[in-house]
Amino acid sequence: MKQVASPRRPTALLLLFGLIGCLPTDELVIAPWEPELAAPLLDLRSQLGEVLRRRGGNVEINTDADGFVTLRYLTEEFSSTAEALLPIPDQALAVVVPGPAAATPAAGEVLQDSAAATLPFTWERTPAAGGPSITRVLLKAGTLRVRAASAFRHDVQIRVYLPSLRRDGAPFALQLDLPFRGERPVVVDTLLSLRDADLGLGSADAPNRFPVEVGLTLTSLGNPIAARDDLQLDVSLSDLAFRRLEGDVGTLSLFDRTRDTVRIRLFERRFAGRILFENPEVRFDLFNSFGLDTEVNVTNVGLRTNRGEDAQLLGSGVDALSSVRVGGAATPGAPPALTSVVLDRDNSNVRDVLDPAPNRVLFVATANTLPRAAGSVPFVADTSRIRVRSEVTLPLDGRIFFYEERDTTALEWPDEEDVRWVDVRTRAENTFPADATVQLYFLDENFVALDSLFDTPDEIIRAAQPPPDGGRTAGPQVTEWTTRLERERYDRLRREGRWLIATLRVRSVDPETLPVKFYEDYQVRFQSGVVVALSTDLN
Amino acid sequence: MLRLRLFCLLLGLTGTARAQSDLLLLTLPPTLQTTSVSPSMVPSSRFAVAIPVLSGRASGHHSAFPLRAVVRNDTLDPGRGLDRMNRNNLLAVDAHLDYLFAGVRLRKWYLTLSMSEHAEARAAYDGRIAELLWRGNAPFVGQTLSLDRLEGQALLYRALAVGVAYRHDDWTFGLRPRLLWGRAALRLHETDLRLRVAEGLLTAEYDARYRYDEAEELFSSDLDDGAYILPRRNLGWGIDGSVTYEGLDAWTFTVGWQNSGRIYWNTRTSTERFSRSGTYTGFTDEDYDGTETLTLQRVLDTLEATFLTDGTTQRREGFGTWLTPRLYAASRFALNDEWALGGAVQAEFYDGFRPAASVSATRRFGRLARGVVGYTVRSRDFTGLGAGVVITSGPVELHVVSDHVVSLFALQAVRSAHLRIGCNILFGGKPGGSAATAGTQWSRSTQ
Repeated sequence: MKQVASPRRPTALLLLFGLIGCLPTDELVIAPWEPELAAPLLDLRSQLGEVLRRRGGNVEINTDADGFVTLRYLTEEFSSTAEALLPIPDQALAVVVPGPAAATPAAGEVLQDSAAATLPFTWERTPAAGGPSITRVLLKAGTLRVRAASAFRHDVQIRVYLPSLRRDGAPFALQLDLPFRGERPVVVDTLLSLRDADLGLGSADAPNRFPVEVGLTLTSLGNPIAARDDLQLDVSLSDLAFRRLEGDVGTLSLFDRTRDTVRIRLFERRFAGRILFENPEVRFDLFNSFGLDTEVNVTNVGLRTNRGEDAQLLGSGVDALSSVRVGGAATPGAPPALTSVVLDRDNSNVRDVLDPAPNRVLFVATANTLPRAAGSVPFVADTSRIRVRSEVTLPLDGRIFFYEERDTTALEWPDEEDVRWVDVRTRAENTFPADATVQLYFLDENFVALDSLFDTPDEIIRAAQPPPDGGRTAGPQVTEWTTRLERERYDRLRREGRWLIATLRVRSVDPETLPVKFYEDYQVRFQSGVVVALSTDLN
Repeated sequence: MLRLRLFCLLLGLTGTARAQSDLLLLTLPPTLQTTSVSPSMVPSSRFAVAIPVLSGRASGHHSAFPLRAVVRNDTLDPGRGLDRMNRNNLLAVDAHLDYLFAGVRLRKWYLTLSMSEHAEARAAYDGRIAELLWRGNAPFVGQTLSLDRLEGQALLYRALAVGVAYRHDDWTFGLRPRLLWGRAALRLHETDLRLRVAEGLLTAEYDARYRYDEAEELFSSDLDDGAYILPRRNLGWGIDGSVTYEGLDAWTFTVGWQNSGRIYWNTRTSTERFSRSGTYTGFTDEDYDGTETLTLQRVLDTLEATFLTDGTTQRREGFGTWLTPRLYAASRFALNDEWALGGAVQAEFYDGFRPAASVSATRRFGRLARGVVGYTVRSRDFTGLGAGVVITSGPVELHVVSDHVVSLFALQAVRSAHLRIGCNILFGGKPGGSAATAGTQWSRSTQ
């Protein structure tokens, strides 16, 4: 079987041969192919609501019935929980019961003795150093260990009684037998769970204490009792975790944030701007779930532009949020107590500091608990903490003197090299009460500007006119323009242009006198088409 | 290598000469080539055999413009031809080669057997498609382009024909059924392109569809020589027929049809369908997820994906192709023993009705030669000056005929080209008779 070459389009090849046969191929030159191609390029819609939601982040977009937009940028800060702030160290108590005096009791004779002690309950910080003075601990976990060691050569029975440790309302009592089997000491070691136990630690005047009582009953085996014979009792509490504390937790530092921020994403890509909002608001909500008052300091509140410029937010000329006393929760299980501080155009300079369109609100925040007020019984739940919710509220109502965004991107040129000219046609439909100018700068690899698309930036997006009261605009304003890029410019840019900077500069209608409002359904539809004239050498 | 040589020979014939449909041949006293003459035309000789491979035909026609219209000062400028196109242009290329021919006359019957190889290609197109390709779509901004005339078909096939002619009084009836074997085919059809690019922002509304079929049995790598010479796949049928009347003294009339038939392609086929419609307004928010930088290349990629890649489906499925049939009528009038006049009209059916007409004069030069000159008009081409010569020496008859003589010398200047050659051996007849009857008429030679 012979193989035959297998072109994919055999008959097309036949025709091609035929056509070639027609051509006077000697030094025949094919004229340049110079088509003019027209195609739509862009059809982009930017509706205010969609754009804001697309940028996402910590913004809450609220609209009223008319669609007027208010932005709320939220940031929340939490202190550590009380459980983390107040770890309970393991406790260890030792009680010695000396027992009966030295003698040799007759076999079967019963002798008794007892001992009691009130021992300190320790915390990581002592009360004198601002540490807790706790009168009651409701435990959710922990282990009680009782270890008794009898040196008597008699049968011993002990009763351990912890009157301030209760479970299900009953005080803790434990009876242990230590029978003598010829060797001593006789040791008994017992572990008990403290889950849901209620541990009393004294009164407000004498906190951090708990008593231990031990009763001893000795049944003689006829052996002598030496003077050094005794019973040693070790009581320890370990792995303690509280559900609630009562008493004074002292001065706890709840948090100390040196730099917290509220990010205002609306302005994150802004290059420069001057915007005057009519009714901006910066608000701090302080939630306290401790059962005692705390003091919160939010200081050095500043607004920062993306150029690193800061402006300080002042309430009535001072730092309005220093030393705010935040009341405690009323009862265990009740919602956290809320204290709010609002800075608005009437009590602060918030309008002025928002003017450069900052994208961050910075502040330093500290909080600590305050000493117990006389007569109160403060409490702390294991989950108690301080929550600081920072909020910047921007009703989109104001004046834009200018607002500029810039974007830099690497230039990718299409493969086609022989471009004679390019016509760019653009149409913009705008319902915003703001003009926009656009400019494209072409830069070389060293970011040196080579050219710009327009000789002077034109208002390629003209503002829709609002009514005199600054309300909703009537309808879209249409702007159309065409610009041509000739071959010489195109070739140079293609050869040297590596970067493109696009700038968008927005200005509201008559910003000196007229505040305008922005509604959710405001949009810009930007359409563009190109006609490209090519020239291709087919030879 | 045999099939490759044969194929190259066909290519050569196709590439070096152009013609249309042997109109002059219809008006000549019949020569032997069965692939173009009427089945009812009968030679005067009792036996006839064509010399293999030396007989064949090649022709071509482009209705829009001659090559010279687009070549000037050694520069090929397709743009020059655009204004000369209309909305119905035809490009036709034909070639065939006779492998085998034998004929015998038995009283009132004339029987023939022939085998031949054919290549035929047709393309009908709206001139605005060429303009769209060459000048781009910008000149059409604001217009609705409705381009449903873009059809093309190219076939390569082999034919085995058995011809039967029967004489009854002054009438001769001829029928020539053909068995066809398809070798290769491509076809573009069911084409419909509507495009409107709006003024202003150049929004494009489009509705485009086509179907492209292809079969390439000839080029199959598992095709052995036996299957090459006598193929067994892609079978088809064809039938030619005609009637000749010779009841008037000096007149001969013939009507008939040729090249009707259909080939069923079922081996090594592929079909590509394209269908896409919509409105393209540019790169939209739906194309942009907002996470990456919007670049020109991304916009161009979207444009390309919209118009060039989406909407195509490919399958392997069989298909059928019709040949390009022709209806014709021809007459010849003998002025005297030396001179005869002829005329023929023809209509070819491909994407419509495409007529042609020819007149001719034939003269006999002794017993050795006959000559013919003629004039042919076809599809806006009025340069069809034709000529031919038939030389007879003993049993050997050689003919060379062209409907467009100019094409042999100045191919660039004409829209049509044609060349037909043939070499036959004739026995038992009266070759070299009068201009009206020489070598042809049944009645004259047998009565």
